[in-house]
Amino acid sequence: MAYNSYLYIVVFLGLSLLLYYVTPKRLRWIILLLASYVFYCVSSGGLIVYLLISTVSVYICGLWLGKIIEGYESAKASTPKEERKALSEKVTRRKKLVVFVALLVNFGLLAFLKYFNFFADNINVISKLLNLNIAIRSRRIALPLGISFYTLMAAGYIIDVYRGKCRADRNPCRVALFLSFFPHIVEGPFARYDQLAGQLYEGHAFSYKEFTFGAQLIVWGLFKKIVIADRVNIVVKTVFASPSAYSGLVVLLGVLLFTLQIYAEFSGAMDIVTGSAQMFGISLVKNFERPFFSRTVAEFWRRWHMTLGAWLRDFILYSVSLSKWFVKLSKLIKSRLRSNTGKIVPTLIPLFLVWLFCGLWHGASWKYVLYGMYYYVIMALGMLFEPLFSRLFAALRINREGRPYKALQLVRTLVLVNIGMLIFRAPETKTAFSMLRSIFTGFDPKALTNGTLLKLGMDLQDYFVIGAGGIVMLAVSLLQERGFSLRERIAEKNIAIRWCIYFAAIFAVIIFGAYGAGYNPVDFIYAQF
Amino acid sequence: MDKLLEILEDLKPGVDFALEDDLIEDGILSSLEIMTLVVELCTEFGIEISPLDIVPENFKSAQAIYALITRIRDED
Amino acid sequence: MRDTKAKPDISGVTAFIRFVLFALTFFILLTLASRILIPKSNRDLLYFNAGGIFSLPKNSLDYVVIGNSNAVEGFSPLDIWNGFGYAGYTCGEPWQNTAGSYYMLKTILKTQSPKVVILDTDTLYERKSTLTSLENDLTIAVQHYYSVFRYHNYWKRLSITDFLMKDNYSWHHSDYGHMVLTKINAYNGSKYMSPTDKIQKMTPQIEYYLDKIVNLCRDSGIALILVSIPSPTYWNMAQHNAVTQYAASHDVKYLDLNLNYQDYGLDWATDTRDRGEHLNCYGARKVSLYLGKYISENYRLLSHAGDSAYEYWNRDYASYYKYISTSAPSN
Repeated sequence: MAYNSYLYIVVFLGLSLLLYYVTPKRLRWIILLLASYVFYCVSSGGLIVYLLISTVSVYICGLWLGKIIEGYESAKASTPKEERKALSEKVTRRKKLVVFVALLVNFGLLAFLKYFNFFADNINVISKLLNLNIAIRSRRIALPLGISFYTLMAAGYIIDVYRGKCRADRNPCRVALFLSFFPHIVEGPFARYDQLAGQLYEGHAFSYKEFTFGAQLIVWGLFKKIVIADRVNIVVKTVFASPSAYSGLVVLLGVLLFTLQIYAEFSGAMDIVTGSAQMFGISLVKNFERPFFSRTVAEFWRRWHMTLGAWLRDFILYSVSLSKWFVKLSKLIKSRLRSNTGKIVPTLIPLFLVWLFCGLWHGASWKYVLYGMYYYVIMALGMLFEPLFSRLFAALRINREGRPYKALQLVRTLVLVNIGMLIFRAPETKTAFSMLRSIFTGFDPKALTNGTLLKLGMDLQDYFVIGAGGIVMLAVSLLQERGFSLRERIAEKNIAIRWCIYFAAIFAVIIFGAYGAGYNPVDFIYAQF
Repeated sequence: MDKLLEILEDLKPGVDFALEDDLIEDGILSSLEIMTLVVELCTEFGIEISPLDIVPENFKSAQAIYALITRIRDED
Repeated sequence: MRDTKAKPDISGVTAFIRFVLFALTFFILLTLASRILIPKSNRDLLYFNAGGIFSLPKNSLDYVVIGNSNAVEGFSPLDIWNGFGYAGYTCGEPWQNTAGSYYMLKTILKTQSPKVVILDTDTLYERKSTLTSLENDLTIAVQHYYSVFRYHNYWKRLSITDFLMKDNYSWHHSDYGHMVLTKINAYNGSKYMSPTDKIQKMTPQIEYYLDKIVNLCRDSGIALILVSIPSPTYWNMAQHNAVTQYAASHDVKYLDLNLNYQDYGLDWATDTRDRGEHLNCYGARKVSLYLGKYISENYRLLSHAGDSAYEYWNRDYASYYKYISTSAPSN
């Protein structure tokens, strides 16, 4: 059930809200859980089994961890100080075993369902190269809805219990609700247990403000998805389907429009789901913070799909670089390599794992690995050359906090990100490279005047809508960048002005939306990961 | 403390770490630099830093970082 | 997190009144938008040539055919007119499902009062997932009540005169919804409709809307006939069995023209345009004459042959006949 469907907006969300608020507060979580399971079954049918396996495994392992931790706390007091360390080590070993079991179950399922064919293909290639007689047949595996999202959230819960960030939950329903909550199961944002589980479980009183603000956010999300993203989708599809048929300028347009599409769509989806949750009085974490105002690629990734970045940082970067064996390894490296490099290399290793994971998470193919590595290389080079740059800029007396330099950084980041998007969207890595080449070599300005742009699936009026919609998006972003809360400000206006704005927004979606005859419904891109 | 300041100075030359009191908010230390710093602290001071300790409050100033180191040492 | 002290929450009564007023305004605006953002010429209404029905005199039709491309290409009202003097129209939409048929019938009944409704059974089987077809049905309903959801892209062609909300339903479709195709691509496949006990059930949603159609016809005093227009690609015995069962239990007539196509002379070598998916105009002619005969034998419909009010039918038949008898078949 897509978040921009009539079924979701009119029927599902409407009914869930109604039921939620007529149910006694104490029992409201039941409505959420039921709604989430209905949502899941309607979308994914029997594949809910996998979600249930994850839920049960994480719940039991959580309890098990909790028991070990409790046992340790009570035994600690009665243990003499000298033996405490040995005890703590023993307990840690046992805790690690439990975490291992939980992660094995959850990532095992993910690996099998999502990556089986990828592994099989690669093993087949290797065995062919080595003349081995092994061939694994690829299978058609139906992917359960949101598995890439809930698996990471499930793992996050277990690790948080292990680390002591949150307590093991005795209530299986709360765990189930946390993992299946319908606004975030399809494409995030990744939630942390200590932040969300309590909120979901406690009943929220109806709040006029939360309710209306949530609804407004949904309309804004729909605007970005239906008016902007779905409109440019046709051009993006056309260009990426046969990039060699077009000159560099058109390819460039295709890439820029894809970046616009994926941003409008993904952030739009986040607005729809955050708005939905807010209508229940639940606040989800932010996933976007106007990423295109970033000055560096690293900053871009802190502001784009923020919760994925946070997950990777907390659970991969920290887990690796703070582990004992890794600290030992860094010591060794430092003793060998002196100067700056010796200090940076220990960061580069876990960073490599982060980006490898990030790439593969997006999809089971080498293309996505390349996508991750692309960003890894940019970041690594940035870190390695930073001392050189700072000396260079100091020597040239360039003010790195000055406006011209900042503007240059914005453009540079934009260029790098668009190249990343190109890799991401291109059907194959080979195509990505040839597209890049054509942008830089086959630049033919004739495409602007000979009418090619109007043959890609958008007419002049469509370009106009994109232009106007883009300006609205930009204006809103600029205001937000200055700490301006749009919904608050509108709420302060008198009712006539307010309603004019709301109706204008709603009817902009209805009238200028790219849906209905001539448009195929477009699945959310991130819902496919 | 001196050793800590030395490490910080090495990590990011030109910043007066003894005076700065909001390294994170002011954007002086990025998350990757903090990671480098944490690994450094682990090897130099022989301590184990838990991911839970990597929060802005513990890294906002040299004093805060020092306090973190002492606390972890005492716990051991 | 959010600034809550800026404005205190308003009371429940105020909130309720506001919601109601907001909803009311919303629906008024929707109705208004649906009147403005809609093609004013009937040529651009509905799909295929179904919009042509709006140009016909009120209550002038004796029967209508509802369905998808199978019906639009496989049924010729003019041949029935020539043979039996009945006036009818084929209202089809691409990939129409039963929900679509139901709302199409409701639309037709606003201006016409046919005695017989023929529903093409190909609409009873969708090749879609439950979720897609649920969304599809909902879309059709929403579009029926607020046409702005269907015609919103009309903003691109909007002019000042559209705000006058004046319709111009003068476009006349001279083949009465029938898409006259002279292409021939023979069906050489194996015999189809081999006997089986299997029953390919309709989905609950389809049955829900089929029930609604049956009831709507009953309430309006219309005789409903379910008809399977011949199509080796889309029809089979298991589907036939399901529809037979439904028709029997709901007291509705069902005619499967796939079973006895030899009886009325259908020839798969010459009467299909795309190897057995759709009929061409030659096939449509045979099917229509057969159906006309069936209607004349089973329902008491008045022939309008010779009625001066229906003179335009004769003119349209003459030009249709000229067209099919002079155009060379193509492929």
